[in-house]
Amino acid sequence: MRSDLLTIIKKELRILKRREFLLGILMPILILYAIGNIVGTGVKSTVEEITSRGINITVICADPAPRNLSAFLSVINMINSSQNEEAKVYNITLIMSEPVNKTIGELWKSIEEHNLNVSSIIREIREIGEVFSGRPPEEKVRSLLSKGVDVVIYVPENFTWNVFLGKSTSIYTYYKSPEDPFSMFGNIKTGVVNNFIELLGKTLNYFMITRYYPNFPPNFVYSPIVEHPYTYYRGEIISGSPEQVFGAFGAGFIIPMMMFLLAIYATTTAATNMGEEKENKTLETLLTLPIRRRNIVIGKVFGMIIVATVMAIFYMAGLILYMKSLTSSVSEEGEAISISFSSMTNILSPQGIILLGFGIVLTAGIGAMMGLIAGAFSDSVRTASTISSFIIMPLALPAFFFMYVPITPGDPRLYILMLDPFMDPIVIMKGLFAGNIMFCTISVAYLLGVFFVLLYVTASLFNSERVILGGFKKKKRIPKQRFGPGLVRIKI
Amino acid sequence: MRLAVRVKDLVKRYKNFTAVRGISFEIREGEIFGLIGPNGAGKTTTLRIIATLLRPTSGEVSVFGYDITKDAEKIRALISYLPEEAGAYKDMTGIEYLKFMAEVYGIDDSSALDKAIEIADLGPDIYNKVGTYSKGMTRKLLLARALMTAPKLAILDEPTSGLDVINAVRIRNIIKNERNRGTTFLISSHNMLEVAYLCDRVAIIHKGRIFEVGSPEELMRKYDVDNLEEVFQRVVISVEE
Repeated sequence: MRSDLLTIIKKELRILKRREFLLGILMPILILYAIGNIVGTGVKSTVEEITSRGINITVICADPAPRNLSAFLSVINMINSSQNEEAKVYNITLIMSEPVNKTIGELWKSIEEHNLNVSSIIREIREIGEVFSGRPPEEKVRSLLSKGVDVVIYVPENFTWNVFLGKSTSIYTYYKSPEDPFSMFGNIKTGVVNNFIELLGKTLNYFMITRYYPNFPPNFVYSPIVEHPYTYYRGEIISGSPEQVFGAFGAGFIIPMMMFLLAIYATTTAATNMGEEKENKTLETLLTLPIRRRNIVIGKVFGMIIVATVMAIFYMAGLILYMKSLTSSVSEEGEAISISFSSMTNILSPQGIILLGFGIVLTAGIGAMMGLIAGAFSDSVRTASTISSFIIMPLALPAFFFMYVPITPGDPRLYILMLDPFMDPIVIMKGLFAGNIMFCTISVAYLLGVFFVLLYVTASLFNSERVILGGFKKKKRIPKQRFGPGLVRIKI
Repeated sequence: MRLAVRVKDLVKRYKNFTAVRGISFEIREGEIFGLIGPNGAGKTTTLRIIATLLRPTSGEVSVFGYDITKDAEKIRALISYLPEEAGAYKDMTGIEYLKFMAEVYGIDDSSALDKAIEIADLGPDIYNKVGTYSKGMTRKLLLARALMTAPKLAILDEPTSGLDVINAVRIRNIIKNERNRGTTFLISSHNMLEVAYLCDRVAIIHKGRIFEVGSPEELMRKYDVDNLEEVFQRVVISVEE
């Protein structure tokens, strides 16, 4: 009996050697890897190009505040004189322009004439209150952008005025559209310009702190607190925030997706396998061989579980490779995945991992048997695939929807979801993370029950003649004979 | 002489029609028995029932004393069935296919494999994938598979279908040799010359019923004709009338 089983398993595992199977699993990996590399390299080269060529920024400054008081000019000077690597990307050209609203210029002139110190100027400005700016000179902007400038920043006349008032102050940014607006790399330049605006804001903060609190370390304002997160989990204190500890389980999708794919692959592979046996006319011979029908079923099921596992592993490897190649090196996502696997082994007990593994194998086995049943009622690979998709849809869709929904083992909805065998590995995982081993054991016991019921059903099907005769074939329609108008069909 | 197959009042009804309507016949051990009849006569259904693939609606069928419904597994260990439209696993080479079958039957003896290679007569193509074989090459491989295990009963549905004359003659001789080594044959064929040459006895089946059973010579004498083809024609026409 054991040798029968091994012979059938070995036969089914021949799928792994098939050129189309190898191509089928290698192609997605290669495609994902290639896409990741193309995107990663594209982003990298665009960033490199920007870094070497720089971003041409022209600032039209209409702020008439005196040079020693102008908040904007001080900020630009600070950026130019800083050792910040980021700042070296920006080629800044400054154009001083007449204010549209002449009132602000006159106000600054009268303040200067009174020879006031800074705190008196601030007091004076606050007494006068808000002063509005005019519209930016768009003709000038158009002319600059058409002559190789990447971005024009218009600093209105009330910039420093508003800073001294303690009000948010505006700037107007005019971007040159990328050469190919639909290119995925076109927006990278916009991102770099956004970084410049962010840098302006930060430097303005810095400027204000150094002006008002000259003895205070400004870096403290940016990051006054350094967090060392820990997570309390089932009586244990684990280093890292919950996001770091469980990140890839919750926000990520690797493990639930792998379980999901495994069940689907097992179903479709088994259905296709049976479809092939029928299409290639090998089933009749197989069923007359001196092998117990039950062993044919078990051999096929285990073969399909192994094949589906290989497919799922390769697919997930492709996905991880894609994520890593996308970011050109070991990415944050790549690290998150490795954190998730290592934290999984740390968090789950050996008993838990065994339960989870058992659940996954049982689900794949259930999927494989459903695939075999679908294949038994078909007469070709195509029909088998169609029937199996009708089986997969109602089972896989709820599993896919609820895969990432936060449900804890106390929730009665989970017992309903548990009835869907494709959901059970995810249910088991949720139970294990909640430390509810009993709940997981119930789920595994349920899967075990479904597995044996289906094994009985499939073996009975293989023992019956339905497996030979059962096949959905399209009935050929014989077209009715049509007669022209006025003609009568005469029975002879 | 011991009976290899005993069929009594066998009826096989499908959903919409009755394929076999109460047929009875016996095959003696060591005999080559032919089942002949026009298309849709019930030949393949009868062979499939004896090969344990289908279950009788009523009647009794036994193979070497084992009941077809109760002892199907025991029967499968004794028989070898070659369906008319059989195929082999396309991703295996010819030799791998034969080795797989030897493993299934628990045959460790390399002489069985050598015998299969000889029957298949595929030359170096035995090491090529079955997917590259022509219909005739596949048929020879399947015949080799059916005979390599030295079954007690070989059920062959149209054994030489798709084979050229030279290969067909060679296979007929192999069947005769295997019979001499103790294998009983149940053969279905449309080729009356083949049946007349091979079979010790034949049964003429039409519309699910058996109308004649006897040796080709007996039947030719009975109908006073020169060949089995004419016997077959006479029987079918008389039934139609």
